[in-house]
Amino acid sequence: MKSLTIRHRILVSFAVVLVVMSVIAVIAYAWFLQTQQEATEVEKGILPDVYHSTEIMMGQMTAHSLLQEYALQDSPSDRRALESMIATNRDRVQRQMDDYEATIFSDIDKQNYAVVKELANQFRLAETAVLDTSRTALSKGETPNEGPAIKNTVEPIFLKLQSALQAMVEDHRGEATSATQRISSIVKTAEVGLSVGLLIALGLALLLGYQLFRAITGPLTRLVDAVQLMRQGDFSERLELRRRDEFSVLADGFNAMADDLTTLIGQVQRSSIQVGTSITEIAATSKQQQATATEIAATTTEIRATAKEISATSNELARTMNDVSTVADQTAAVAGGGQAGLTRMEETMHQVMEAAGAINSKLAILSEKAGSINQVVTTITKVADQTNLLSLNASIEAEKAGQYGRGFAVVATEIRRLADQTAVSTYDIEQMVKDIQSAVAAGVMGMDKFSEQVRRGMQEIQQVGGQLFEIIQQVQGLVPRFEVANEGMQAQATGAGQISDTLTQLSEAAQQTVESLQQSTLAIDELNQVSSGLRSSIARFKLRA
Amino acid sequence: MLFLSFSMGTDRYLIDVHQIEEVLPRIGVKVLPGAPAGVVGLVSYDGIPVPLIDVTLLALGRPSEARLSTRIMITRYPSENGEQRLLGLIAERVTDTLERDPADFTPFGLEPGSPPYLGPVASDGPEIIQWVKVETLLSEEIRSALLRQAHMGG
Repeated sequence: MKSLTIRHRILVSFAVVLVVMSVIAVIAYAWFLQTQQEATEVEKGILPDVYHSTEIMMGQMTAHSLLQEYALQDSPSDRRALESMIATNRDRVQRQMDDYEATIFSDIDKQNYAVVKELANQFRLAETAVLDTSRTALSKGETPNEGPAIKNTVEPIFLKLQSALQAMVEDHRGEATSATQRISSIVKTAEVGLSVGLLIALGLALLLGYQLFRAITGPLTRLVDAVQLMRQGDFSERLELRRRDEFSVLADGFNAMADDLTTLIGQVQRSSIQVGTSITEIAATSKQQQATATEIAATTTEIRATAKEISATSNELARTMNDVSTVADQTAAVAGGGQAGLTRMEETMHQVMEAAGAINSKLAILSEKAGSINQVVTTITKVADQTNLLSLNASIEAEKAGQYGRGFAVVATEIRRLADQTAVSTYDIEQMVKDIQSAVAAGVMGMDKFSEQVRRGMQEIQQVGGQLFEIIQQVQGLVPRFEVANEGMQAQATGAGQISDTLTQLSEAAQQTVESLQQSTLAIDELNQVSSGLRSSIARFKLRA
Repeated sequence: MLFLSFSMGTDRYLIDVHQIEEVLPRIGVKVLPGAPAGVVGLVSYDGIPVPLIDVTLLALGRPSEARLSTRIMITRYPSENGEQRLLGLIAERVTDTLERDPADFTPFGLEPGSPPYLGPVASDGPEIIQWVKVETLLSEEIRSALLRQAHMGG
């Protein structure tokens, strides 16, 4: 139900009521058709039957009374008149019977009619017999007496016929009554059906109308409430209808409008705050500028005084410069003396280096000699080894010789002892030579390092000499520059006077600036008031958090 | 009785000088590639090629150091058929002889399981010296190899 649109709801409500009414109308139309059929049958079938059967009955009764009247007449003329009337009545009855025969449909009717027709024929035959008898009597001149004949033959037939006709009429009346009852029952059913249908239609119309009313008034009330709230400046509320119809579209539109307005008012609020802040800043800045302008005025006065001092100082400096120039000349002369001393020192250094080279070559010779001693020691070692081997073999041979070799064995052992001592001594010599060699190597390295240091010292002396030369040149070059500086100082003194004049003008301009800044402060105050008004008027809007 | 002393590692060993023909410097050694373990080559003695065994290699598994005191001892040993054969032994510190009475030597008690060439021991001051018998230095393998060589030579 929530997803139906209002348009659909209205259409559906009307359609439902219309359908119920149409059904009622169709049923009522069927009932009326039935009633009409029944009425037609009464009109076309039953009423003519009643009419004709009544007519036939009347005709028969007329025929019976005419016959009785005929029997009562005495004059022949009257009898002839009555005879013609009987004939006329007979024709009429015959016509009525023919008409009636055309309207017979039911079996009961057919049986009834067959009985009536038979009896009517018998009555006519009996009547014709009575009339013929009387006419014969008349022609013979006798007074006819029809009474007994009528009473015996005609009367019983007539009574039978009368009862048969009566039954037929009764039958038709019964039919008419039942048809009328059917009509009235249909009419009653139609009355009840129409009342019920109308009640249902009315109930449906009320129910659907109420639904429609609720579907429209519920969201409408909420919309009106939301609009009322928004009129009071509260933009924090949003509509949540939880349905899919025109109202939800309306609510979405309302929400979007509220969002846009919220954004807009939020921006306006922020902007107004920013404007307020900016104005405050501008006011502060303007006051600062005012203070600065005042300070500038004061400062220019101070600068003017300082410029005058500068002028005086410049003159003093120019005098001092002349003194400095003299001192520079003396410095150049002293530096020249220093350079000559350095040149002598360099020569001495060269001699030291040559001596170091001589020491190095002596050390090399020493190292070479130590190597020769080493070779000799190696040779001695080999000889000692050979001696040892020799003595070993000698000992072995002496042992093998037994008693004869004993003296030899002692000699061999002694030789081996000497060889061992030689080996130990050569080992000591070897160690000493190695010590000498390492000492010589250390001496060579030390001399190399010493030579390197002397060389570096010489380079440094050369550098110092070069630097002293530069100092002399620069000091000599300083003198003309001092004169240039002197001229500059005088120009500076003149410039300081000009600065003083310019500063007087600047001071006046600063005063004018202060005045215009006071005017701008007044304008800023007005702007501040306008901004406060804007902020207070926008503050009554309440936004969503 | 006079013994020639030599070293294996830090210990001193003795050989009876009666078994020694001559002591030679360690020069003129011809290397034999693929020789049995312990055999290092041949040396010529009086024109005869004599097989050389490195005692240090045999006992300690490393060759003797190349020093002047490392020398070759030409020894004699009796072969199976009674004739005397020559064998060169390379050993370290072959530099001294020692006069000892054979009665000074006593068995050291661990002979089973020790190499067969280790003989009885004696003390010389603080250290223990051991007698080495030349004929037991040769293992079966070396002995058969030398025999084959002798047959081919003879």
